[in-house]
Amino acid sequence: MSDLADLTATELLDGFAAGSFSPVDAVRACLARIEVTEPALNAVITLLDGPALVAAEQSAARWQAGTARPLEGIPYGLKDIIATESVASTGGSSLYLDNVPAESAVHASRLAEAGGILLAKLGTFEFACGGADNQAFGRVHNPWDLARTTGGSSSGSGAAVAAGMVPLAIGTDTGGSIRIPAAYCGITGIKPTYGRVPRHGVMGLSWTLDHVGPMTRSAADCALMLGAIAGHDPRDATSSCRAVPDYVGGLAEPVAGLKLARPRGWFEDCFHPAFAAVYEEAVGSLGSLGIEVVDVEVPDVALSAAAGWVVCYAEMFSLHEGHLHTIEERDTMGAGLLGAGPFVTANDYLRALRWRPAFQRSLAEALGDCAGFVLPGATTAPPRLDGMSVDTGDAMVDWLMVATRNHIPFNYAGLPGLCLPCGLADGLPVSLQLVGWPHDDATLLRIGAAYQAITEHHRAKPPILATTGP
Amino acid sequence: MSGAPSVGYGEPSVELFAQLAAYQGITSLTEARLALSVASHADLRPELLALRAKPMPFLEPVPEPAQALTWLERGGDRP
Repeated sequence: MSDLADLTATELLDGFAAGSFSPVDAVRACLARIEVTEPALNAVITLLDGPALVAAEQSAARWQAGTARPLEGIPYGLKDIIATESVASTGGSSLYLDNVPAESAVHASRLAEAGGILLAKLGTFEFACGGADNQAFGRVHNPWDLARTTGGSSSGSGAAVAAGMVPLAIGTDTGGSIRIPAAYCGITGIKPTYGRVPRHGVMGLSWTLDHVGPMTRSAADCALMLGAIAGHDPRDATSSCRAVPDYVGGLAEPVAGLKLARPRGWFEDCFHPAFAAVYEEAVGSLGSLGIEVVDVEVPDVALSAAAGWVVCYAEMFSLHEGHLHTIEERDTMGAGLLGAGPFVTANDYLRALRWRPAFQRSLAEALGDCAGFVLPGATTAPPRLDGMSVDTGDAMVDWLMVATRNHIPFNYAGLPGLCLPCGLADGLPVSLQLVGWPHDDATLLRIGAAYQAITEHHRAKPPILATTGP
Repeated sequence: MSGAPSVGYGEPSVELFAQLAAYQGITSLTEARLALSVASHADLRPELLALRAKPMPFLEPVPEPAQALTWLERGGDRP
């Protein structure tokens, strides 16, 4: 039998249903994986092994009784900016080491109600923006190369899913913080449409850019998890009242005949040649699914990305103004972002918000009759933790603006984005990103699942699993 | 025309940002921190000037930011 820690949630559910193994076996397998990989990765902030084993026994009983729920017995992790009742929720910050919420975030409650088992609270950049050097909890290391970052800010979620600590994790994404670690760690992650997943109980960074979404090892698992956490919650007024589609059921629908729009230019700049070559091959392989890829132009992307940063600076300052007096005690990257906030004028902030509908219309016109965009999830290897610079092929540059350039435009526009592993370059993951129409997350997941049905990239194991011998 | 000037704002500088911080009663930003903030804004400046130059009429097509959320909820007016 395979090591259960290597199975996807979908495969675990199949095994539970068949009686091949139980949720207790799955939780023990994940705990064993954590025991051997955590010393090298530092992905876990709070391990909930005791409660998880108790919950696993209860889930096993539900499977026996025929009362299993959609995620019954599946272990998962939460980025530690997400509130959990009676469990420390630190925000990755020394300021909140003793923060024990009285109420869980909506996602934590929904995952528990669906039968999921919370196994660990996971590492994060401080307040989802602090950078890879976390003063309170240390660096999270990339399972593909321990000297490199997982990216962020959902750093622990990326590492934990890639290493098989958990099959499912929740991340958040303000400028790429689900999709960047998904790309850097060789996993599958979706930033859903803005409003699709409510944000009650999440430490906010930027209310018009923040999204919550799944980080998993397959598109099918993203569909499974998104179905559990999506849907309106009155405690987040921006959450959508649209009905939640059957994302898993939708995976079976055909993809042949769909068209994807390829915007080059901005999105394929700063592309390291080795990564570009793997990406090119992946785009080419979409043809074998009957998907046509057509080149399109998207105007004003640089301007719109800048508008996204203006919004981020201003809203972060508004939310975190109370931390300004201790700014030099905050982690480096977050201090840099917070420090820029006071100098955004009201007019520039409002102009950036008013430009958002215009950019949305530009994206819609570029999409035309296409189902979505295809673009790189990352254009370089993850940076080394020492230095945090990326190699674009012709220069070593600071990572942040390169890593976020293919993501923040879609936080700003609110469109869904799914990152999928599509191969390796120099032994490190390469990622394909699909960006879709608003509230058509299902089509992205369907294309992703179809792609993963004809490829094995999502099953590639990082070297740490060979060296630690689980 | 939007009425917003495309030029006329000062170039970011430590001196300017120090004055803006003082105007807001912010005393916690060191000169080094202000210099980093200036650098962040200087990086954005070409695109920010372009944004300031974009026509944004009082009514259509960009009257107010809430349009973005309603557009999303409508599914992007997909053809």
